Amino acid sequence: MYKIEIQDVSKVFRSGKSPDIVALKGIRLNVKEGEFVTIVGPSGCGKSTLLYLIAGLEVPTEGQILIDGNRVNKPDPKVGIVFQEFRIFLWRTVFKNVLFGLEVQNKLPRDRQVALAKKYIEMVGLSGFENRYPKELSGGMKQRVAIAQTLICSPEIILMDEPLGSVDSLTREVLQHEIMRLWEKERKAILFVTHSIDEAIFLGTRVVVFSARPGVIRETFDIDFPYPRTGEEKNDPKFGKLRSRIWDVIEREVVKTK
Amino acid sequence: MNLSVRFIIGFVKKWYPLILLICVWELVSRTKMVDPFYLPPFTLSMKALLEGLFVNGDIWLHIEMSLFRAVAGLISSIIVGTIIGLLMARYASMNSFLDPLISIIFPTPKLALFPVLIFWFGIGQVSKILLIGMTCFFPVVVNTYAGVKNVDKYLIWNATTKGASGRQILQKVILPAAMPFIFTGIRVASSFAFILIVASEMIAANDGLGFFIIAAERTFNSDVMFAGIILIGVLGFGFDRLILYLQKRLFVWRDIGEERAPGI
Repeated sequence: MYKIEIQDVSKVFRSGKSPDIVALKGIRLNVKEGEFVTIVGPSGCGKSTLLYLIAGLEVPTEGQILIDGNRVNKPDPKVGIVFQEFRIFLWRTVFKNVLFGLEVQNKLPRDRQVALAKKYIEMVGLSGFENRYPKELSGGMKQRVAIAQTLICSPEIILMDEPLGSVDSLTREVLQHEIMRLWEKERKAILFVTHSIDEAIFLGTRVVVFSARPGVIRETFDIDFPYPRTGEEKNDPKFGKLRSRIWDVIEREVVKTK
Repeated sequence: MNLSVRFIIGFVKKWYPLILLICVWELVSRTKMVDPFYLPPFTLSMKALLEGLFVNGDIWLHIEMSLFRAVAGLISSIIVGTIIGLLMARYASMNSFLDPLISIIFPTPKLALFPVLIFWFGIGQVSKILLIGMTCFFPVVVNTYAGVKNVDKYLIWNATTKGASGRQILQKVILPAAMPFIFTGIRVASSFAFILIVASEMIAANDGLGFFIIAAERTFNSDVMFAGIILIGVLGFGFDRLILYLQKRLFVWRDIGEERAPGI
């Protein structure tokens, strides 16, 4: 039984004056519980759009997406999504940002909400920064707030749209390890979009390679490095071979977009 | 260099235009470079002001009346303006209907319509409050619309995926995100209100600060007239400071540089 089933999904963006944009075409992908699926591909190939479709923020033009066998037609807190460039609430402190999901759902008593917020803030390493505003934080810290803000809602599926794109490479490595660590605790299904092949291989149980627009799935690679991964895998010759193979696929696609 | 000297120097640096103005004013009047009938010395004007405030207490009534009308007009325009701005941003049909109206009416000086309001509503409170309400409505609605339209779609998406209802999104995302824009609209509206209250009271009123100044002018009490002018200057300045203070408190989370509301 699959957690996510993407059945022949296409997405076309129509606008009156300009020609139609076919973002995705005939996407077929099934994701099981506990998989960490990374998605790579050239810019503008619809990777983000796919995440938005799974999250119920956009509707497919053709095909359908099933979660737990049910068709997705609107957003549901079961599916958590972390957007590119954080998109946290600038007028709220770190604490209130992380609390946001629990606050609007209002299913738990207030003191429990507060305790959870503190716990997740600590989990992402931001203890002590509860009362700071986002403007006082670095990019990496803001990203951590975004992650905590999503995880606190205990989503069953976590979507991440290039979460480490706006962060410097040192912080990026640190955050990669942190995200893996968080995932290893509960093994939720994760879909992680990235531009970095290395990141895709290092983090994922499976790498899905997208073509240029219109986005179709070109190839899928299963990654069999065991967890917990330390970073040593990057020195393994298998890693390098995988990287070249994936790069070949993408190179052909990148050339197409020029 | 001890503390008090540093304080004085800091004070002078900040306030030198005002100090200069007062000194020149006083000098020019006392030395009769300008006839003191037309330009009474600053000190005499201040004396008249203080008398009006604390000796015979005449001025308080005028201050109250002006403030009442200005605030009434301003508050109504803020309430109506933000609601309509929100509706226009939310419903494209409302926008297409109202936008052409607003683009035509906004630039036309509502003060020109004041005689009509007097004709219809008399020279009491209503005509002035209407004038201020009508004029202040426009900056508020335009800025509210811009602020709401400007809210990052991803913020709304973020809230939606975390289970927020439409009302919660409005309250917890759209309004806070748009608030800096709305506040700018309110600041502009406030400066309009100030100008209009004085102007309208000069044209047709029985009380208020505008009336106070004009009455003094007509009876050739130039020191009283300048007393009124000084008072309005101080009130306007004080009000602007208040708004700046509010802005700093409300928007702690934003990087805003020092801005002043324009005044005429």
